[in-house]
Amino acid sequence: MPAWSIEPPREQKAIDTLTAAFRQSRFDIRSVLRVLFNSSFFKNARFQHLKSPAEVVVGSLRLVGGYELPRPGYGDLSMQPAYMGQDLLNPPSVEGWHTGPEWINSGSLMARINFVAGLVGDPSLPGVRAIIDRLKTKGSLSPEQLVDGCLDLLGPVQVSPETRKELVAQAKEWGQTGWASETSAKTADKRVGEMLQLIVATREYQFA
Amino acid sequence: MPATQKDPVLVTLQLSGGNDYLNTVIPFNDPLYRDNRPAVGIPDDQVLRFDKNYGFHPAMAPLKKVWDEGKLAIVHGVGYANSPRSHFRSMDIWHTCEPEKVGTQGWLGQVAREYDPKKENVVTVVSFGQCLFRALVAPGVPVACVSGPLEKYGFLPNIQEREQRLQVLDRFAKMYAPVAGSGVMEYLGTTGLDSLKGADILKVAPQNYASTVKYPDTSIARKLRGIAQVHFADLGSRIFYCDHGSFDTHAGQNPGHGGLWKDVTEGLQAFIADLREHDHADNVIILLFSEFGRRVHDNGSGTDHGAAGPAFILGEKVKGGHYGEYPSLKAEKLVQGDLNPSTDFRSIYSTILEKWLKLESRPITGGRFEQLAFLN
Repeated sequence: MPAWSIEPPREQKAIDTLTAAFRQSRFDIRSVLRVLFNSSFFKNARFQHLKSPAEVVVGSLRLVGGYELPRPGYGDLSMQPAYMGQDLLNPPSVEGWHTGPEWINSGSLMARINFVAGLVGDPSLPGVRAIIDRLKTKGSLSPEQLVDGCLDLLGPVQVSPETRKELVAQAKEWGQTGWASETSAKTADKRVGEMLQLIVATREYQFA
Repeated sequence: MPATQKDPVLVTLQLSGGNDYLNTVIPFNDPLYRDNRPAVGIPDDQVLRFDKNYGFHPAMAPLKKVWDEGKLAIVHGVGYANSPRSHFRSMDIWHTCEPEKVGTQGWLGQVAREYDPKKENVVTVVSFGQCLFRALVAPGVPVACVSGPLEKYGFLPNIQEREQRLQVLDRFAKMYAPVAGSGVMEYLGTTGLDSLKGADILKVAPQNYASTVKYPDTSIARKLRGIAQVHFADLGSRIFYCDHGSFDTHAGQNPGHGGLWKDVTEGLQAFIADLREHDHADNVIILLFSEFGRRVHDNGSGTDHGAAGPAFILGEKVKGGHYGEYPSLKAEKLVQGDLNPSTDFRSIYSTILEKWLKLESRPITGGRFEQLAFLN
């Protein structure tokens, strides 16, 4: 979905539908939004939008939990969007930021992947612990089950068949994942953490 | 072509936000300066005079030293016709050499493509900053963007066990394999793979770096130090880019503007000392520019967007001095109340391209522009 300030909307049918809703409702925005949210073109626009740094940071913190209340270290968190290219409340000019693919360069891609991976790789965070515990309830997991379980609990995150194939190939290197003993539980927790880190490093995960 | 250690290198330092010409290179002998700057004018006794007509902002003492050494060129009245006074548009114009239409290819991206058409070295261009500057963008040209400390540059640092790390990074590379014809996904793939390769190459730079030079603890100094580290590591990098700002001093210009120049000039001072200590100064020039200057008359607290501004080029092989003419401050000579550009910015680029980087300038600048004499 293009950023409106860079590229005009692409779907004329969508524009016409919303325009009609706006007129028929005698210019009521809620009615337009009702039509928009129920439309197939809106639902099909999922995962088309490159997350802004603010979305990456806030979305990740909400996923992993534990940051609901202020605590030491928040100062560094507030700088993370800046490292990814979006210094909040301080755009490069009064015109705001260049968005969309311009969020991505070699440095910012590294910054966003490393930030999210750092969070999802930490099993002490409640959201990550919850993911691990949910997977644990399924017993011993095959590589495919580990990958699909992690994809589901992280989002669900939709990845291409090629990406899934690589994730499964990585899980196959580890074999079966289970929590039957203390030793295997430690290994399993570590494997889940690494799989989560790999998933958030995928191209697909950069979209919302 | 593989670069050698003594191939010419260009460091560009972008002063983001629109640097105020009149308070940077101060025409202290011109009474119109005082008339137009009742609020933000630099007091006469504070101007750092460097010749009989001009002086620097008092915070720019380190740059004055470079002037005194004869290694600082000041290009006056730089800009282009019909400036939109918009940050984004103006910066895009500087980056792409396209004042009439929206360009998408950066001038330095095109330089990198000339140097390395087969993309053999993903660190030919290294940028220190949080965004990908459009000046560096060209299809197929990788840019290593370092947005934090060089020592921490690399993917997935939390996976530390060596064998596991190698396995995961190998998997990452496979996941980022090219996906033909898929627009943004392809761009993400290329960026990811280039970053991975670049990280592997760049990590030796801080490991091999040793210097007695102490850099100030400022963001621009850290970026310049990073540039020095990569340059000394002899990785074939030819184009370096960084920025500092914001110079958009609409309000509270004093002392903010001075603080910015203090950071820039002290950072440059350390950088130049570092280059000299490592005998790596001869093949480096530094270009400083801003997307526009600011208005002649202040607004009571600061200055608003203008047109013409100065550019600076410094280095061992630079012939110091004034180039071009300082635009007149007379009301009838101004353009919408702003200094009238007298030197097309593409003249600077043409000079650097042909005389320093040894490339044909016309395909990159889009035309023939007067060459300036600031390079020996």
